Amino acid sequence: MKIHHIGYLVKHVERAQRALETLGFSVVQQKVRDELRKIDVEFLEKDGYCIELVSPCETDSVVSELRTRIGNSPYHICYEVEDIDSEVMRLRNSCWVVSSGLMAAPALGGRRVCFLVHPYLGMIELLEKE
Amino acid sequence: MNRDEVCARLKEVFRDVFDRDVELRDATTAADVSGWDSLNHIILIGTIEDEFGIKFAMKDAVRMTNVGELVDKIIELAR
Repeated sequence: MKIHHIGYLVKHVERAQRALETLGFSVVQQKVRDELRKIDVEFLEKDGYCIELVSPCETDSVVSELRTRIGNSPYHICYEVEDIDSEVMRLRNSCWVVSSGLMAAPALGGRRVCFLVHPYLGMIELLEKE
Repeated sequence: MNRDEVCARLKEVFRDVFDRDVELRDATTAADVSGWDSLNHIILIGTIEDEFGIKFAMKDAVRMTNVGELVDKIIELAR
């Protein structure tokens, strides 16, 4: 299990991108629309650290409610795993609750991801290894 | 575990999740509790699983619509 990126929930991807560029980050993947989850996603990198910008593009996006609740903020760490199915099962047995089940992520080359929440820690994303 | 014990422990779980006392009746739904949104529902499920040492099937976690059903399911799983 290796950290892949930190996810930021933002209202405006372009404006957040400019803010990250002032910190030295560069875009490594331009904005992609995930039609299923109704979000825009973009990746930036600096010194080997990767940040994912996520913005709801519809009011009924999967993250609209959360963005309204927490504002512009980091909201998950994504871990890349060898076997996502067994990792989900393993974490499910340790109080992690699936908030968004396994699905392909267009912004990550169609690799499957899964979001889980721990009541005492918050949200993570699992990403299957290429 | 009887129903009263489950309700008492569940009340503590709600206090922990919502940072206040929440009046719980069987008919209480998310709409009756300020702050019981989709994220807090997930946190509630995880906290209940930890408190009672149980694991909900995800379809049940989504399907339970009021506190009474939640208590019934906890009793069933804790047997």
